[in-house]
Amino acid sequence: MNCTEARELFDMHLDGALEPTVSASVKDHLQGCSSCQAAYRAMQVESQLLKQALQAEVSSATEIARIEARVRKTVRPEGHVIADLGEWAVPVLGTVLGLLALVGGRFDGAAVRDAVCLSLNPRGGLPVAIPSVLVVALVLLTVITLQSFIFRTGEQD
Amino acid sequence: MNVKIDQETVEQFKSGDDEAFSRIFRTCAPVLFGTAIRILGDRGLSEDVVQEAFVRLYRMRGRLEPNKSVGALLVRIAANLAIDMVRKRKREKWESLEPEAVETKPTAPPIDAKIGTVDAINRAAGTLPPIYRTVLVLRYGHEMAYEEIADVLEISVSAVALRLKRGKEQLRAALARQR
Repeated sequence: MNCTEARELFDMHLDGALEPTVSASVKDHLQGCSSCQAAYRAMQVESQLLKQALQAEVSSATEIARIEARVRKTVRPEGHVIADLGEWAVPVLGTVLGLLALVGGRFDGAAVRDAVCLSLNPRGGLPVAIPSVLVVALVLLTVITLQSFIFRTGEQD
Repeated sequence: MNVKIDQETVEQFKSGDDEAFSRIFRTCAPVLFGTAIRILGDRGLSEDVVQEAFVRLYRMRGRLEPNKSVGALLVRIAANLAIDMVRKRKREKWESLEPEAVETKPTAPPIDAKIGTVDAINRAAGTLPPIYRTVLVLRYGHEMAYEEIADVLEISVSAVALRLKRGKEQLRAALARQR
């Protein structure tokens, strides 16, 4: 390895980004070349200066406090487990339960088809009797969903 | 740059401890702000980046992998957010700056202590194109390995090496102009 080749690799050698065999070749060259040793030392100094400068804090306490307040305003307080279910989980679950309620607790495809047909034809009256348990679940989920969306909208203001 | 969070604090945060979240915030926020502002060069946008990074961390707290550094994760999120903002703002074609497309510039001598003060370097870094600022911040600001930087920026390791080289050359030239 000559001086030009070695100096081309100084950056990566300094950063520990060379293959071990290539790194060993650079080291070998450095041991026997005083001018490259001087150039390498200069790059080590530069590297330290860059670390000092680019690691220096540039924020003020006011800025950090302001960001923390904004984060607090945005994230949900503990206890809002509903948020962790994801934005769509609750509405989807509510819709599925609602459909199940509409078909009166029957889960076969024919029941769904009948229920949809009856719903589209008001003269047919209400499709089927809705089991009270599913109604309660549906209402609860609707309330929770609405509360969840209202809460989130308020936080983002 | 120290963004190490002890495992106990991480576990407390994962189990919903608000105070643990505050500790993580106080430790990491100044570092993330430094990263964002050095990439974006805008204090307001940097605040947005830091806020969004913590909001995302908060929302993924239940899915944090054990033994993975929360600090490193936050840096990745913030860096990516800042980079996305730069891309949107300036509509830069980052891909076109892959190694073969970059012109060779004359090499200035390495930065020495006479011209390389903290302020001077930060000022000069602010004048560089974002692609160079970003790799310099990730490498020297966070001491990330080339592979990690490549992963964050979604470029090859050789592209990272080249951008670092070009970035330093441009930084040296900018500092020389400041003299």
